[in-house]
Amino acid sequence: MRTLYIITRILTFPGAYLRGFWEQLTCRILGLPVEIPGYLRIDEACSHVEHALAKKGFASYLMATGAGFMNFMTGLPIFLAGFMNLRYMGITPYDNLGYFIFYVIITYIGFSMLCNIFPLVEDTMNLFDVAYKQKKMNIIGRILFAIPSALAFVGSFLEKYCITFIALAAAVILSFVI
Amino acid sequence: MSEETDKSISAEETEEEISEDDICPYCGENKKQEESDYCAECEAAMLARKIPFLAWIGGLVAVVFSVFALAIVFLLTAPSIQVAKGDSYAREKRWYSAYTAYSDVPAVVDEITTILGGESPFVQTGTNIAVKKFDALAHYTSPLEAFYYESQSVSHLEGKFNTTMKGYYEIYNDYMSSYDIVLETLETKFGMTEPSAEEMHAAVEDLRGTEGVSDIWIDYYHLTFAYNFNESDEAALKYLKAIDESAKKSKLDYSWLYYTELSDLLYKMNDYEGSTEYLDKLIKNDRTNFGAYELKMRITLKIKGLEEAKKLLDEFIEYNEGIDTAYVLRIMYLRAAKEYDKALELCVEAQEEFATAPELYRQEALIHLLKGEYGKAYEAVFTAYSNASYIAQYYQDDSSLTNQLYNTLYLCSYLESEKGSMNTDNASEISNIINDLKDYVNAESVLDVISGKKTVEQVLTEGEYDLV
Repeated sequence: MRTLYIITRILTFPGAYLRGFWEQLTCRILGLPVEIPGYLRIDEACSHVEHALAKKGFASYLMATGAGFMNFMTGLPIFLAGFMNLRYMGITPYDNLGYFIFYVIITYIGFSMLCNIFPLVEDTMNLFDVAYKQKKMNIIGRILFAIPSALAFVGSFLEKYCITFIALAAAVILSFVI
Repeated sequence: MSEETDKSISAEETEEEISEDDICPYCGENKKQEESDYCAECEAAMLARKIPFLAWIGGLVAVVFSVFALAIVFLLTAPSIQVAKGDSYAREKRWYSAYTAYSDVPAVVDEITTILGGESPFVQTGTNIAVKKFDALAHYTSPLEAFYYESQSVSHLEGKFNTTMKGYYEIYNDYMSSYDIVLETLETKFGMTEPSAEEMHAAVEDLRGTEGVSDIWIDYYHLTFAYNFNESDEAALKYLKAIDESAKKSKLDYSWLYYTELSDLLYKMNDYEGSTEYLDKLIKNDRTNFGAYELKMRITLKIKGLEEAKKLLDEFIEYNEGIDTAYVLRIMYLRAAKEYDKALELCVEAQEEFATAPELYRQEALIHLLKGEYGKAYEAVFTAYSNASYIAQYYQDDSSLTNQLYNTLYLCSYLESEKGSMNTDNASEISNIINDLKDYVNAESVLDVISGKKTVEQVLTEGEYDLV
């Protein structure tokens, strides 16, 4: 599974790299020390930075969801701009090769970003420990962030087992076939 | 002394145990800071770690480009929804609806172009939409007709990698090559003479096995000659069965070529079961095939009654709501159920929505005929004829100028002149129509009414349920 995880991160390296960047940026904003900064390492933390665990409620929430949120918000329009042109507007190499290649590239970049939107399991565990067990987040925050936290929690496992990559890739391929 | 030594050793051990927990895990040397996982030096170094320049650039580009991409997505939403609508219809095999949806995509793109004040290279319709449109039309009509109307938009794909168009080009090239060879052979053989049916059949049959001429087209030419030389229905059926055999051997789908002919002929030969079998296949291939539903409706009314016909009508409406043909079949059903007023109301409602659809006016004429209002019937059918002629002239589409329309026009004109209160305004017009069409009227039901063998009601609410 570790090998598959690393392979999928390498296959989606633009998104993996950017996620690493957003994570390090979040650490810097929150004042969290970053142990190992490499974004594309060949281990299970590939596409993440190794950092100290956040000890406050909101910081732990941001660490778990911030980087993924940025990748999602920037990746979705990029993916859709390419995908809609290829899938719906029917652009082919016979129309304009330059634009076709451009759309293929941005679809791939957007796809790679969407495959890297969930945190490491350790970060979501820390979020639940700090915010919900130790209750270092106020009640309003706990209620407001309950759904995104739950999504991040489930998503972190899906990403760990490469299910997000497989599901997204299958959806994109099927949308062209059906 | 030894006691003192022991004490100092145990004190050192305790100190070591404490210090191991407190040692910075990163450097493994210094003591951790209070409320921190690292020593002061390591933490300062970690906090001072620079984010790579490439990462800053990547992040910035991603944010800026995503804003640009978002604008593209907004612009593409409306045409994409239109294409998705077409795709959804195509998946349900509602080919007419799919064709209409795909045809509307350029108009949606034009609207966006108008809003933008100029063409955008990021909002363009591509070849695949043209292919989808072609595919929908080929299913709704036939591949050959699709080539007639849409060949320009897909011509650059001939010989290129495109799985959809590959099959269509095979059919088209096969047809063209067969046509050229058959035509050349017939011209060489017969020139300006008028050959007999047997000679034509023999000449075409001689070409069987020739390179460039497919068996299916040989069989099809036999069928064409059978129709042209007014051969018997049995002879036509024999050729249609031969086409069926050839089609089964082909890896390409040729059902569009003969299923309609076969079902019509079987119906004509009173083989309703056989006809229904092919009509069901046609309906399965295209849920918007009005012709197939219309004939099946007549068969159902004839042998199963109104209840089953209602089920068929509901099935058709489910797939064709909002299309003029849904109104036509509903009106036809109401006419068969003898609910003339309801049917007339529906005609008016439908004509408001589809002001130029000839069949709606023809249906109105049939209801007026049943009510004995021959003048109104004539006016309605004349509007149908005018609309059909206009469509044929300006859109090069003569599919509305059907045999049924001519027969209805003739019968309405005839009954108005014989039994109606023909006014002086249209008297000459009506007599002209009667004179022009009298040699072309071939519907048995019309001839029966004119000869007095049957009443209008018998023809339109029993038997054939139309002027066929």
